[in-house]
Amino acid sequence: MGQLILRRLATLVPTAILGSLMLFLLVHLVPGGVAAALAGADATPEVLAQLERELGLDRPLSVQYLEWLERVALQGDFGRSLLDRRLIGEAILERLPLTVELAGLALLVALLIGVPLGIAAAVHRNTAVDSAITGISGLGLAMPEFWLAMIAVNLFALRWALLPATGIVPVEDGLWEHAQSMVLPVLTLASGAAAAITRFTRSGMMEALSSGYVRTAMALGLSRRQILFRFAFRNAVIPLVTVVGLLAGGILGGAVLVEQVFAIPGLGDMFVTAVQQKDFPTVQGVALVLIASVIGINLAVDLVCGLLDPRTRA
Amino acid sequence: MTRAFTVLRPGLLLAVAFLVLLIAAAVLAPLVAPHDPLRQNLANSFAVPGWIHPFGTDNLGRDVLSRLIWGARPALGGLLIAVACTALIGIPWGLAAGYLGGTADLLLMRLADAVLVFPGIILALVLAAVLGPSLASSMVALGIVYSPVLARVMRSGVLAVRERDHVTLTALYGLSTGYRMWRHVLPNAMAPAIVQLTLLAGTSLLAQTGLSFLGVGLQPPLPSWGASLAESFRFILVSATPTLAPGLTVVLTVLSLYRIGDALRDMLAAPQR
Repeated sequence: MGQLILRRLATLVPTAILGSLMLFLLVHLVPGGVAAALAGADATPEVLAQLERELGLDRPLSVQYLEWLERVALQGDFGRSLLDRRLIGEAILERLPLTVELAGLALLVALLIGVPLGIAAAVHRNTAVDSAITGISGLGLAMPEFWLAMIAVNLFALRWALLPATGIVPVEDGLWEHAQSMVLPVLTLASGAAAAITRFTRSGMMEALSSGYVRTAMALGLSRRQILFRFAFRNAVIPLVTVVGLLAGGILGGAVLVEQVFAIPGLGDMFVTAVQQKDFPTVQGVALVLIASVIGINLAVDLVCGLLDPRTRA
Repeated sequence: MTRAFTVLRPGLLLAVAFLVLLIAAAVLAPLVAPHDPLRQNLANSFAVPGWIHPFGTDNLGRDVLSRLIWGARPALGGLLIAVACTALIGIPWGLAAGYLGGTADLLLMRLADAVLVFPGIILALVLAAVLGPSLASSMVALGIVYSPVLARVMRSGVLAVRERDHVTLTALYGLSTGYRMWRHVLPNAMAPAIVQLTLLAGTSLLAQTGLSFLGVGLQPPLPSWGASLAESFRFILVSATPTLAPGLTVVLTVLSLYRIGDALRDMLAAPQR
């Protein structure tokens, strides 16, 4: 296991460095550049030059990148927002918990919906149950989460007044109220991932159910339940865990949109505002945190796979 | 079930018919749109669907159907940009990795891992911050993010055919590497790539709608489905009707693309079974 961790880290570090380098170059290599965008279209060359000096943008890109990386990685210093001069790291820490809660719960709900549906579809393959589940999951894959969120707000909040429409009640103001305000955002964000998990569970289970060891188990007269859960599902779990890693980026991207619909002051909301206001240090910082999360989740996924399946440890 | 029947399943026919209709609407927008998509009529805002406005009007009294029809242009155009970028980058990428093998393969695939880490919407948003909001640049960003997905598919396609007899034979004839890749490896590895591109077209439309919902796609008042959704959502307390049609259109378009992608995959997989 220790070796697996080491090997994963060895491939992870170059990926992380490449990812951060691409992000940095995106922000800095663009025509006009950061200073031009900040100063506005009618800025004189002198103003531009001074702004570049102040921001340290006149130095070689390689120096700027290494310095940025060093400050972020070693000191957790993301710099200050161009808008309100606040420390970006502080703002990220303030907003991170909401987004982590939203995305984490959405993933959990997606698994709780997708896995049973996928198993049911595989067990009842080529029946009406299978078609219904496959059809619904197809719809889930094709539906923009933020549009589903709009419909949900319209029906459950505005028309039937069952749940609050937008905004999140802080936990301090009551756990029940907080939970109520999380229901719609979590469910709508979970929809796409739940559909994908249903599909993957179904195909994984169908493959496992048609395999030799399941046939042997059936021949030995084991109960249906034992065959399904002790043999088939355990083998279908590994690809499923890998899929969770692949879905992580999608869920975080979806969270950016869902936070907009529900007016949730999370990381996604901070990111969109920064993009609209051309607050480059914030854009760069939040994007880095989001990318780092995706990398981190994939590392965790690899390790879980290693724990579950000795074959992948080799 | 015979193969012809699989291919001609009613769902697939509907999907193709819907896409043809959508493309026709986009191309013929000036002829088929019943109203000017930009003309406002505040006296007639939030009109319920009826004869004159089949899908009703929005908060500014603009005809929802006409905006939907004109919105098909940026939707399909943007989708083409994203898919073309993915193909232009992903196909040579996967081809090179699969064919060259060794260290080149390792490096190219490590690069694919690094690009895959970027969630598409996040990269497109970063680019929008730097370049300013534009449909084309955000679609290029999506195309770049999706290209490693295609590169991986392409690479495994290449690995599957490169050792086959008809490909190894061409080396004996002394044909150049480039020619052999282009003429012999590429056509044989292309099928799974086309399936993947069809599916990515659907994914890119979903992302595009999200991006224009966030205001970094086509800029208002020009009609785009995502921006229409964003605008009508602000007035959802007054009327929810204008939020329905654009969303449904997106769902149907993506469903059609996915359906066609699945059908292509079934068709291509059939002979090997």
